[in-house]
Amino acid sequence: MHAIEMSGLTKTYRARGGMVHAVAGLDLVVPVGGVHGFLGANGAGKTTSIRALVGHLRASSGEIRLLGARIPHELPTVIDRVGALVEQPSFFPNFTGRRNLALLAKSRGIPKSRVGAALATVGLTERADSRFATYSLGMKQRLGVAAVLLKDPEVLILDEPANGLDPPGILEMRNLLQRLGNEGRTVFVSSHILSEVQQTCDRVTVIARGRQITTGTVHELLATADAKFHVRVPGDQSERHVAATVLTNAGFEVLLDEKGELFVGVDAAHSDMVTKALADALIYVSLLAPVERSLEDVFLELTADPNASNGASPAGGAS
Amino acid sequence: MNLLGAELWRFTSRRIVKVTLVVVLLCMTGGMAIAAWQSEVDLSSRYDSYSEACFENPTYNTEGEIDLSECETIVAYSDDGRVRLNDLGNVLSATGVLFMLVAILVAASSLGAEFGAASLSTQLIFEPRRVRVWATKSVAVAIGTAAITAVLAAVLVAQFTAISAWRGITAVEDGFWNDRVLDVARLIAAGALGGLLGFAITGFARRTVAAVVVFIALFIIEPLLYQVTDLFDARLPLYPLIAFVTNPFREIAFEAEDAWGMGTLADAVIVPVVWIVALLVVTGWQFRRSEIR
Ligand SMILES: Nc1ncnc2c1ncn2[C@@H]1O[C@H](COP(=O)(O)OP(=O)(O)O)[C@@H](O)[C@H]1O
Ligand SMILES: [Mg+2]
Repeated sequence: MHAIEMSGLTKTYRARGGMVHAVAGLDLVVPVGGVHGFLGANGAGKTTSIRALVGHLRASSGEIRLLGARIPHELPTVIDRVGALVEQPSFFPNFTGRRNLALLAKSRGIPKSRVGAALATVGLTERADSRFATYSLGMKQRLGVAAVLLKDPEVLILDEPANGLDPPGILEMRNLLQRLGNEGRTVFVSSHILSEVQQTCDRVTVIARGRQITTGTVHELLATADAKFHVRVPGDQSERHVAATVLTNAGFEVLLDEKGELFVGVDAAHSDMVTKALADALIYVSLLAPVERSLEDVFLELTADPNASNGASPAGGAS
Repeated sequence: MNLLGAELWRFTSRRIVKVTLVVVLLCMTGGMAIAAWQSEVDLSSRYDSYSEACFENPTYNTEGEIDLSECETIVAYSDDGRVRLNDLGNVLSATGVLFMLVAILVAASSLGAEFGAASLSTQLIFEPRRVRVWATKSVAVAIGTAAITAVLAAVLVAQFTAISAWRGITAVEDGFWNDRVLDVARLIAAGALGGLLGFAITGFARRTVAAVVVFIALFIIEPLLYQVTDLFDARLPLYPLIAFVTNPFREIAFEAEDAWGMGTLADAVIVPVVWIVALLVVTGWQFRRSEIR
């Protein structure tokens, strides 16, 4: 059994300008345990599919299973094992953070001690007795995460939890998610900020326009992209052009970006061949550095609109 | 039970509930203070000022008679402003309408605030059985508004009894307290029904303000409809509920026209109950299917 499964999920909204296919046949499998990133640009359909997953809306078609239970009908049977934060955390503005959590805990018979524990985990103990309305965006977000932790859940569903957090807050959130994942829980976390996910997640699923683009471990995804090296040679622009010609003649794929920097498409195992080819032409390499491929680059490549006239090539620039 | 406990706790924690309770209690106490003060006025001193102003230094009109318009009036015994415990039934009926309107307002704002804060989305993560959530909320509102009405009615009875004992007249008819217990029970029931009506209408309107507008509209439109045609007699929700509180049915000269077409106290409770049940079922069904933000 998987923690989360979706197959052929669709959600169509009737909007003023016609139909909006917010989710358009999404397939998704989240295995049990670890942090699973759910990536997509704004409007890709992350929130909509999460809302369907927690029963806040009904999908137009498709099937969802959460811990094996069919959603929405069997949701009540697994709800105590699942915590979720969907979009903005919404609480009573005039109640304190603590009372907001205590009310939720009471509604489900969760011991009161868990309220204090959850508040402590997200670092909100000091402000727990202030009204929710007085919280900053980041504190509201933390309270939302604390509400997720109340149930001590096996599966955590978090829709953009880093929203509104400052850099130290983001770091804490990252550590918290990793810790929860390491405890054997399943953390399903959506984001449009890819560097976030790259550093936190074990696995990712990338979606665009309501469909899955790819899924796998972060390593697998990064490996699908071609490796690239940045090459510097002594001398001016003309030297670089000469070097580019030499490398092209030696059979390498070469890029010269708008600043005149030289890039060579080659995997690490064969990067010595670059130095050799240039040395044979009496050009001596002063720098040969692998270009870090971020998930972001991969993501942009994967989600580039096929209808757009020129596919953006992120790291290298014009060839 | 957990859910009901949480809902009641939420209801009683709301600021509007506390503020409304305090404001209404203050107004009531103010009214009682004025009644007590008027009850204190000594009739003989009034008579003295009458004779002084009118008979010792009289002004005469053109016909040569004493101009009585210059005089203070001697207040007849029947409206001498004295507090009579025997009037408590009328006082309860009249004030009960106010209590019921308070119940409607509190209930409407209570549910309206939940839609406003979108807190239902968080709550449904803890209890996704929506019909259960909706039903529990309505029960909590009914219990809450009934409790508010009970507190207000108890204070009213206590204050009125104290004042009549202090400066008024405590003589009462036979069976007086039995009837008052029934009055208070009716008021409490009306508080609960008013709360449910406020809840159900806010279930449609989704916002406190919109719900209040609906109630003001009902307030104005219902009597107009009753006037124009008798098609709606005993068929609309608000005025039957008001009749249930004021209970005109006990008057000897009662006619159904005095109570918007309702003949008995039972009519006055059945009509609103049918409305409330229907509205709750429809809004509950709607809530079950709606997309939660
Ligand atoms: N209630 C709605 N009515 C109409 N369109 C909607 C509604 N909710 C979302 N959408 C549209 O569905 C698409 C996906 O939205 P969303 O799931 O919020 O994306 P994400 O969370 O990935 O940013 C967007 O184009 C959005 O405008
Ligand atoms: Mg979103």
